[in-house]
Amino acid sequence: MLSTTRRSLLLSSIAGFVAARMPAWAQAPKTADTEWRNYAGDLASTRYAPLDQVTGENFSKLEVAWRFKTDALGPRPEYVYEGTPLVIGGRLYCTAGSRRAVVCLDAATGEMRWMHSIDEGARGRNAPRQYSGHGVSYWSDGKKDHRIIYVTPGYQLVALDAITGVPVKGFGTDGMVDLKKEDDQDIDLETGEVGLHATPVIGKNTVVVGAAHMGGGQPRLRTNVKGYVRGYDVRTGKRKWIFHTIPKKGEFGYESWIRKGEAEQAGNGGCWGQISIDPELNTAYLPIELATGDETGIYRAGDALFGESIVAVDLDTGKRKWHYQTIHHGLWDRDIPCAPILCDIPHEGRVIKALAQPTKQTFLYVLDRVTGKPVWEIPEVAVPAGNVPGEVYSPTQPIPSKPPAYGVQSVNASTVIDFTPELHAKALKLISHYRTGGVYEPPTLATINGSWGTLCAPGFQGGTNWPGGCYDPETHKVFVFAETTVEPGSVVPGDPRFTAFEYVRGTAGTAQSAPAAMGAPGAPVGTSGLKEGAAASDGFRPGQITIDGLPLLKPPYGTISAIGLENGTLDWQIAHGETPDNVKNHPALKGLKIPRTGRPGLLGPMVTKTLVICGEAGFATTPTGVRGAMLRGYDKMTGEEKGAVYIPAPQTGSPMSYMLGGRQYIVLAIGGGSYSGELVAFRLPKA
Amino acid sequence: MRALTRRLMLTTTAAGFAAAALPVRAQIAPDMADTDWTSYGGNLAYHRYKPLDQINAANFDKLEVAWQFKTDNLGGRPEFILQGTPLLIKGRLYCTAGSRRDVICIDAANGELIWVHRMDEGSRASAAPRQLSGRGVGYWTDGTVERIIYVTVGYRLVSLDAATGQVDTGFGTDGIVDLKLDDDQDLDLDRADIGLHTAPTIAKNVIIIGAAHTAGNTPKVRKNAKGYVRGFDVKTGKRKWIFHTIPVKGEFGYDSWLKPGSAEDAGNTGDWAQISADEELGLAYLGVELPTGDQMGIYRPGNDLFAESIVAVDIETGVRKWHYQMVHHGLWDYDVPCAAILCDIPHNGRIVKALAQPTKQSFLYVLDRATGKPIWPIPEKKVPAGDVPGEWYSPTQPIPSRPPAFDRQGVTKDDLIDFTPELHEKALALVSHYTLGPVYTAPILHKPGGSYGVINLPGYIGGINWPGGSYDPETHTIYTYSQTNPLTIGVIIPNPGHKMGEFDYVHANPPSDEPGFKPGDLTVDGLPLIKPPYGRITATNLESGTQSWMTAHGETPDYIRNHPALKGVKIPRTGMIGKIAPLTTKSLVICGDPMTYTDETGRMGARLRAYDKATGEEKGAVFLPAQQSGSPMTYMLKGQQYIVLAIGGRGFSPEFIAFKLPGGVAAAPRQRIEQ
Repeated sequence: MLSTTRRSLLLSSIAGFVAARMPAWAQAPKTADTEWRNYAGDLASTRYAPLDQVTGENFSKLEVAWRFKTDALGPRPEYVYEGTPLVIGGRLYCTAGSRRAVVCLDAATGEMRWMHSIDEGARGRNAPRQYSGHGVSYWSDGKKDHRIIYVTPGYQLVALDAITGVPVKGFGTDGMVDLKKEDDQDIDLETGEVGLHATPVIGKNTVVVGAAHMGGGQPRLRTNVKGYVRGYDVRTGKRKWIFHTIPKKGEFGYESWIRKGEAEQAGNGGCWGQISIDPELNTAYLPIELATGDETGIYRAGDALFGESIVAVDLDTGKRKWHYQTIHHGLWDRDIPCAPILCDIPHEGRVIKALAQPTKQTFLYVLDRVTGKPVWEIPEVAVPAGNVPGEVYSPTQPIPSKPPAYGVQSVNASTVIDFTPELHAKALKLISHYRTGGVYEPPTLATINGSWGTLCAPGFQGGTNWPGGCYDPETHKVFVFAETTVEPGSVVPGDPRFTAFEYVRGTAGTAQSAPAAMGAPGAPVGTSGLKEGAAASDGFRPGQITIDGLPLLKPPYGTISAIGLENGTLDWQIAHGETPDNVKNHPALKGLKIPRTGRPGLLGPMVTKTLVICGEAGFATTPTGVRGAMLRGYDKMTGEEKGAVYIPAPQTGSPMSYMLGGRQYIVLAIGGGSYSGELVAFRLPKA
Repeated sequence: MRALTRRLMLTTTAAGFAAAALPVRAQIAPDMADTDWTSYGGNLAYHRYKPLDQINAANFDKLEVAWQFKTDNLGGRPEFILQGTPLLIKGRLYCTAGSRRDVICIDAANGELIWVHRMDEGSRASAAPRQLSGRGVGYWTDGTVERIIYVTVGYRLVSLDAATGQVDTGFGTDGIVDLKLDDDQDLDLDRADIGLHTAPTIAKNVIIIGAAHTAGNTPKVRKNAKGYVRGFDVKTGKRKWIFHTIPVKGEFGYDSWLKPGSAEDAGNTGDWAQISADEELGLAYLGVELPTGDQMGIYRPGNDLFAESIVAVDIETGVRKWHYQMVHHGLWDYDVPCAAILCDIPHNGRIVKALAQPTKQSFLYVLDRATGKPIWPIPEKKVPAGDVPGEWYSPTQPIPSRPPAFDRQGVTKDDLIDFTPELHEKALALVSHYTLGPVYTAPILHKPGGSYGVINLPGYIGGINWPGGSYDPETHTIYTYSQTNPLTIGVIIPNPGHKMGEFDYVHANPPSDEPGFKPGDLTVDGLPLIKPPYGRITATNLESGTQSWMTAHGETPDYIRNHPALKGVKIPRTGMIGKIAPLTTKSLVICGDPMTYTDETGRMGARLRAYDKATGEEKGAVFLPAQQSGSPMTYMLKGQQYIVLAIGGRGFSPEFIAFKLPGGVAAAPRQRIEQ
C-alpha cells in the first residue's frame, strides 16, 4: 500500500511537471467542472460561461445527452417551461411542472435525485403566477449547509436541503416562510393577489424576494395588493427589511404621487423581473413595475415612484441608495421585465462599475451602478400628451443618447409591411384608423366610429421581456433578443362588472371579460390577448394588427443585437429564427425572395467564450422537414451563424452551460404547442 | 368563529339527515366507492381481482388514457422492463420504478409525482444479481402510521413514511435493514450473489423477505449464497425468524440431501416468487427454487428439500407447517416462479381452504392450504432417467390428476409446425438433431455426432413465469396466461478446465458438427418450431378441476404474418409469447399483449384486451404504445374506475399508463391534503 502511494505520488509529480511544460491549450483547467450558481449564471446576471469545448466548428454536431420530462410534476402537464436550472457540484436544480416542484437531477445523466412539491390547495389555484416559474436559488455556508430556496406559486418562501430536498427545519416554520405575512399590509392568505415567477436572489446571507400580480391592462381593483420587496435572513428566514416600492407617507418618493391618497390606494408596483446583486457594493438592483393600471394612470397621477424604476437598495437594510426612473408616469406597461446586467466597462480611460438594463421599449439603459447616473447622457425629451380624461401626462421622457435602441419603436409608413405595394397600401389603411408616432405616443381613447386608439411599438410585451439579455465580460458586449411587435394602446370606459377603473385598456366596440392568472388555463399567451372587434366598412377590425395574416410591421420579427458598452454602439444585429411557415408559404409572397425574418417570442440568449447561443421561438418546419425549432450558435464577434441543432419544440427557458466530467453541456427548457415542457441537455459526441 | 363552527355543524347534520332520507339510488352506490390495492397481488391471497364493473364489455373499447407516467429519469439510464404493479392506498399509487429502483408515490387520478425516494448503492447495486426496478412495494399501517416497504437492488430492506417518502428512522438503522447481514451465513456486502426482485409481503406485522440469485443454468460457483427466507418486525426491522430453504444439519429435510456435505455446499434455493399469506391460518406460502445448478444436480443427489416446493411456514415464527415438493431433484429449472393463489373452493360438499400454484411446467397444483394435501390425487409417476455422469435421477415425479395442464407439455412430431408441408418437412429435419419426449424428460449428455439435447416444453421460462395468475372468487376460476415456447434446456456438456464456472458439467449448447446447423435455434425459416397458439389465456375451474375455456392471447406477430412462406395461408390468431398476467374484474379478464405488432393502420403497438370471464370471448381492446411489462391492477377513485399497468420494451421506454372511461369527475383538478 505504501509503495503504491509513493508511486502515485511520483506519477503525479511527473504529471504536474509535464503539464507545466505543455502549451496552455493542452492543460486541464479547460475541462475542469464548472457550475452555474444563479438563475442568470451569476448575481450580475451575465448568463456567461467562459467555456469553449462547444465552438462554432462543432456546434452542429451537438447531441442530446439527456432529456427530462416534467409532465408528472403537477396535476397536468405544463407547456411553457420557463426555468433555467442551476448546476452545483454536478447536480442540477430547477423548478418544474404545473405545481412548481423543485427537482434535483444528476447533471450528467438527467437522473432525478430528489423531488420536492407542495400542494397549496386553493391558495395555489388562486395564485396570480402559476406554473413552474423561473427556477431556484442556492446558498451555502461553505461547509455542510447547502440550501435550495424557491418561492411557491402560493407565495411561500421555502428552504430545502440541497442534498436531500427536505425542508430545512430551522428556516421559518418547518422550512417555510409565508410571504403573504409580514408584508406591511393585510393580504388574504388564500385569495390575496400576489405571487412570484422570478427566482429569489441571494446575496451574501440575504434572500431578496420581489412580488408579482395579475397583468394590469384591465385591473379588477384600484386597491390591489402592493408589491413590496423584502430581504430575509437566509439561515433563519427572518425578515431583515422591506422596501416599499410604493412609498409610504414620509418616505422618499411619496411626493411623486401628486394626488392625495393615491399612493395609499394603489397596488401592484411589484418587482417581478429578476433582481441582480453586487455583493461588493452590498447592493441589490430592483427592477420595479408600474402601480395598478398598465395603460391607464388615472389613479396614480405624477411620476408615481418607484414605477418603472431601477432601485438600488442596501443588501442588509433595504435602504434606497439611488433610483433611476426609466419612464415617468408610464402608460405602456413597460414594467422593468428583467435583470439589470452588472458590468464593469472601460469608459473614458477608467473602468466604471455599470449596469445595463434591457427593456420592453428596447432602450438599453446604461448607468453607473454606484451612483445611478447615466454613463451616456439620457436627456429628458418632450413627448406628446393623450386624451384620456383624468390622465396627467408626463411632459417629457428620458431618451438614452447611447446606445441606440435595439428594436422598432415607431409605427409609420417606413416601418409597416412593404413586401408588395398591395400589402403596404393595406397597412397604411389599417394604421390610418389609429394615432401613430414614436415610442412614447400615449394610448388614447378608442371608439368604433372614431379613432381606434394609438398603435404602440414595441407592443406591451416588448421588445425584451422577462428572459433579459446576457453579457460578455471579455468584449463588454450585451446580447439581447427583441421581438418586433405592435399593439393598440386603446382606452375604453371600464366595464364595472370586471374593473373598478373608469377607463381601461380595451378594444373599441368589444365587450370586456374577466382577466385570467398568468399561466392559468385560458390565460392569454402571445400579445396581451385583446380580442379583435367588429369589422369597419373598409374591412379592418379594431385590435387587428395583421395584414392578410402577415405581421403589420416589417421584419425582422425577432432579432439578437450585440451592443458594445465600450462605445455604446450597436455592433451587430441579426434576425433570429427561421422565417415562420405562414410567412414562407403565404400566397401573396409567392415568388418574392424574403431574407430570414426571425420569429417573435420571449427568448434569452447565453454567451460563451466564442458563441452566442439561443433557441428559436415558435414552431416551424426545420431543414429536415420535421416540425420543431433550432438551437443556434452565433459568432459573438460578428453575429454570423456558426451552427444549429434541432430541438423538438421552441426554447421556453434561457439556456445555460457547464463543464462536467470533461464535457461541456448546454441545457435549456423547451416546450409549446402540444409538446409538454422538458429540459434538454446537449453535448458533443464522445471523441 | 364559534358561531361559524356551530353553523357548519348544523349544516352537516342537516346534510346527514337529507342523505339518510334520500332514495338509495341518489346516494353514492357501493360500487362507486373508492377501492384500494394494498399488496402486489391485490390481496395477500394473490387474486389480482376487483369486483368492479364500471369498465365492462360494453364500454371497454371506449377507454381513454387518463395519464402516463414515464420512468426515464429515475435512475442513471432508462430501463426497458418495468415489471411493477403499483399499490393503491387512499388515492395514491406506490411502486418501484426506474433503473435504480426508486420508490415513487403518484396521484392515482392524474399521475402527478408526489414524492420519490432514491438510494444510490454504488458498486453494491452494480454487482447485484437482480437489478432494475423490481416489482413493487409492500404497505403496512397500524391505522395511524403508514409505511411503504421495499427491497433495494443491493438487498437492503427499507421502510418509508407513506406520506412523505422519508425513511422511518425507527426502522433498522436509519430506516434500513441490511439483508446481507444476520442471514445465518457470511455474505460479502458488495459482491455476494443475492438480491430480490419481488415486492415484500407484509402479514400480521411481519415482513417476509425471500432471496434471488443470478440465474443458474451455468453456475459460476458451487458454493453460492443460500437463499434463506426471513421474517422481520414491520415496526423495528428486527429479524423475527429465518427459514432455511436448505436445511441445516438436524433440521427437517436435511436427510433428503443424500451426499454428505452437499446441503452445506449448495447455494441458491431462494424464494424469488411472490409470497402469499393467510393471516387467519397464520401461514405464509413460500415458493422455493432449485439449489445451485438449474439443469444438473450432480452435486446435490436426492430430493434436496425444499427445492421446487411450496412451504407453509408460521408467519410469526417461520416454523414449517407443511411442504409440498412439486418436482423431485429438478433438472428443468422449473422454479416456483409466482405466488400460490389462496382460494376457498367448494369440494365434496364443503368449502376447502385451498391454494392453487401455477408453475413453469404448466401444472396447476391445487392443495389444501391448511395441510398441504392435494385436493385431487397427484400420483407419483415413473419418469425416465438421463445419462449425465454423476447425476442422480428421481425415479418418479408427481403428476396432478386434475386440473389438466394449462399449456402444452412435451413435444412429439405431431406438434410440429404444419402451416405448409414444406415447413413441416423442415421442422422434422430440424428435430432429427434433437431428442423429443414428454414433460420431465431428463437432460442428456451431448456426445459428438449425437443428439443436441432434449427439446423441452415448457421451456425453462415456462409456461408461466413470475407474473403468476389471477383468481375469481365468485366462480372459483383461475386465469393464467402461459406461453408455448420449447427450449433446448435438456443438454449437458462437459466443462473441462472449468472455463464455464466450477461445475464439471454444465447446461450449454454444444458446438455444431454440421455447417449451417445452429444448436439451440429452434426456428424453422424464422418461424416457431411448433404449432400455435404461442400464448394463451386459460380459465381453470376449481370446483370441477377442469378447464372452462382457452383462448390465444395476443395478435399474430408481424414476423409470422408477413412471412413469405405463409403468403396466402390462413392462420388463425397465434397469440404471442411473453411473461404477463391477467387481471380479473366483475365481468372481465383483462390482459395486455406481451409483444407489439403492426396494426391495420400501420401503427406499431400492442393492445390491452378484455375477455368475457365466463366464455373467453374477446369483448374489447384498446391501443397500448408498447407491450405489457407489469401486470395490470384496477381501482375506483372518485366515481371512476381506472386500470393501470406498466408497459415498455425495445424502443419505448417504460411507463405506467392509466385508463378510464371518458368524462367523469376525475377530470377535475385533483385535491390533495395540504402540507
